[in-house]
Amino acid sequence: MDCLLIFAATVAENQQETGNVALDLARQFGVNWPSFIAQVVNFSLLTLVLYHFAFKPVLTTLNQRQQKIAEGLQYAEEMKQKLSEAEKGKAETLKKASLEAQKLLNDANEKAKALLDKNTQEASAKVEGILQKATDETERERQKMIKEVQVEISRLVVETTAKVLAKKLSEKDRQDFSSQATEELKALN
Amino acid sequence: MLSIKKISTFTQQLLKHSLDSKGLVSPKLVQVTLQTLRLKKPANHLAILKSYKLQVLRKLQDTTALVEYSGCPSEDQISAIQKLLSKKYNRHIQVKTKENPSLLAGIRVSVADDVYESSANGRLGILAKTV
Repeated sequence: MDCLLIFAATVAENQQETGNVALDLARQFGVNWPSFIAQVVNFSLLTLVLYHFAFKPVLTTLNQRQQKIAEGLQYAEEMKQKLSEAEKGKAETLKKASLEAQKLLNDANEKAKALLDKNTQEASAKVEGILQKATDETERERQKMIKEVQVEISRLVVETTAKVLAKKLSEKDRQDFSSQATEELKALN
Repeated sequence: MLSIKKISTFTQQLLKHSLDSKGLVSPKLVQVTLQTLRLKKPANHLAILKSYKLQVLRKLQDTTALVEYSGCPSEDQISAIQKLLSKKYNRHIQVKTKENPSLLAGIRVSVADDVYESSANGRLGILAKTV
């Protein structure tokens, strides 16, 4: 309760002081023309000086920077485009190279297959030739052996027959044979 | 020096004088010819003697038939062979006989380079070749 009384007293006191200031301000309110004109001139001069020596170089620098930034952006855009084109070209080149490599690989495979087939055929032909040669050689050896056996048998037969004849033929048989041989000789003439 | 051709011609003439009436080489006439050559001794008499020897041997081969046999042929058979050969070669052929047991049976007649054979051994040879 005491606090409220103190606050009310303070507010009343402040209202009294504020009324006094407002009265002072009302007395002094209005335009002081010489001061106003002087300040306008000062402000204009300051603006002019600042414009010439501060704003203008800053604007120039800003313009230059902006131009550089624009150029940089344009350059970056061009680079981006070039990079894109390069990547596209690279992709095409890679694709082309891949196709060529595939083609070369296919050709190499075909050639290798053809060579393998050819070598296989040649080897087969050689093997057949060797087998045929071996067969022929075996047959030749067999025929030769048969012939040798025949010759040997013939020789033995003739030799045995000769020995038998030499023992068995009598003198009369021999003379008869000679007579027959003489007749054959006459017949030849 | 006489040429080979002249020597050959000369020895052919000598050979003609060394043959008998049948055209056979006569040992007596050959002996006479050799004695004459020994006495006269013509130039190149050694070459002439060699050539003469060759001609005589050749003539003997041409006029002699060697009959090899196993089982002696009769005189008639030998005579028949002689006549046969003389007729065939159109000159007188003298026959010499020789036993050859390897023939087993039969005869083999050789005149110069010609050989006629009809023997058991020859037939066995043919048989062996055929088999």
